[in-house]
Amino acid sequence: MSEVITKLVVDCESGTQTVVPLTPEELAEREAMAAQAEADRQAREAEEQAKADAKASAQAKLTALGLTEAEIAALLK
Amino acid sequence: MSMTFIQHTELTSTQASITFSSIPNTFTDLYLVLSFRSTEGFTGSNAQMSFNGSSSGYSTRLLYGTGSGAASATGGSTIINWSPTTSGGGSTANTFGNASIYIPNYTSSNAKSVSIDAVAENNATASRQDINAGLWNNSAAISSISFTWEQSTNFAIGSSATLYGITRGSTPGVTVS
Repeated sequence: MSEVITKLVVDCESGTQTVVPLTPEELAEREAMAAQAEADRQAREAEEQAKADAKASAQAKLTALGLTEAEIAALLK
Repeated sequence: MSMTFIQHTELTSTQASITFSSIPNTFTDLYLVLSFRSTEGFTGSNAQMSFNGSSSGYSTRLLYGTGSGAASATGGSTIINWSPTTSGGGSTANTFGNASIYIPNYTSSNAKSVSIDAVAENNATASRQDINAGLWNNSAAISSISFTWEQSTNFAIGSSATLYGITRGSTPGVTVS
């Protein structure tokens, strides 16, 4: 038996709290949101990795040009 | 001014979303106090909020610290979300992320602003803390507020949310009832 996914609705007028199963439309929206969130997460991670790689590459090139670590750090501030 | 308790809930079972509906329009501002934890295994889940079931007209800008640095980010237009608050297997057991949210002039026909102050409780170096400025560009009064997770996970048992109404006053002092 599959798990029934529910939501809680708190009615501020009556004070009642009701647990309601998600509709098929809400379940589909939830799955789409999860897929989008995962895609966004992967894109963020790829962007952060690309930035880190570019920084490391730039530092290596500056070192090859003869700059000291202190000089490179000053440039990157 | 006075601060009036409207409703509180604390989950006794996991839920996909929490909604405050039929919010009275008799107050000046709304104030929310949240303690959330998701059921997923990451150390950070993005809690998110929408008004009146709407999925458009939002914008956010947030500043956050990670424990090792600080940064800023811009949110999307379909919902308001804030820092990875705390979550399941990746966070210290039984810890919850906290947030306080202030919504001034929630019945105004102008765009509604939202201020969020949130922290992810986690016994580790990396634990995010944010402040977040949001806007909902819609003329309708806010009558319902829903909370979900960006990753479509569930709210863990023990997650809680409390809604207060703030009424402006003409004399100094604060009354809490």
